[in-house]
Amino acid sequence: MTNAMKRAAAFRLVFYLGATLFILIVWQYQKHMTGNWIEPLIPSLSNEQGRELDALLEMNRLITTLGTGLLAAIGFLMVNVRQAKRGTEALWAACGSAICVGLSLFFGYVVYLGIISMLQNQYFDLDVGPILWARQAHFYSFLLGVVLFGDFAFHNLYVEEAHEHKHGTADH
Amino acid sequence: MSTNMALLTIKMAACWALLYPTIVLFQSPGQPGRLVIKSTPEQGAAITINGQAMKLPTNATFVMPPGKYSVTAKNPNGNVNCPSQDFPVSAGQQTTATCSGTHWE
Repeated sequence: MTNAMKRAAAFRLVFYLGATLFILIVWQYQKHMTGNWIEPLIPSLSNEQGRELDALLEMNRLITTLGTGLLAAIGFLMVNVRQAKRGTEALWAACGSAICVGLSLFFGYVVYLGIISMLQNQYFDLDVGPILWARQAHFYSFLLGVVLFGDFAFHNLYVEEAHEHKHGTADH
Repeated sequence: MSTNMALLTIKMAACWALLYPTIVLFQSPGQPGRLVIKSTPEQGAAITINGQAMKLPTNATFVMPPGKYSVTAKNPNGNVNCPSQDFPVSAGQQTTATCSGTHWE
């Protein structure tokens, strides 16, 4: 087995162990964030509550769509970086962004589950523990993903080009 | 070859660990229980649960995660004045607490 193969195997091992650890941390976080809550039983939703729920679902869909688009953009830029054989200094930002957006999509799914549970159990409060923390995690992990993507894109579009231009000028 | 087998085993274990929480516990919040609080001879008594004043007076039904809840019920007339008592709430179950004058039933 060559050194390169050993490195690749070690990288895979670290990747799977890291992914497992990461999922366990998210799972534990999810379990401990529901908190205590007491809500009155309601037989049906009022018009205002229905509109509030629609607005939340609309916002959830919007963030999910933007997150999916961002993942595609990360993939596109990463392929470009590979094809252009540029440096991979900002690759950590791309990976961090992809992880954050992936988390955001997961928390969006948890919001839906919280809403289904709320409707099934006949209470209504969008600020109740199981829904509130997932809503916040959904938005803020997306926001962090955008920031990291911005860093990655800026590095690739400006910093790397500036480097290449500088080296190109020096060669001539 | 043995390294490949070891990697395959680790991969399978990792995949199982990733899927395990999803399969066993699912991701949805745990099922809550219900607590029905009634009062006699009068309805409309103010309810506190775990020291927190509720918006609805008796008779009312509340949804909450399973656990023990300390409940009081009082009205200004003094006809209903039940001191704090713990009531267990189980997942998917309904517990009824009736305040009869000055004691719980």
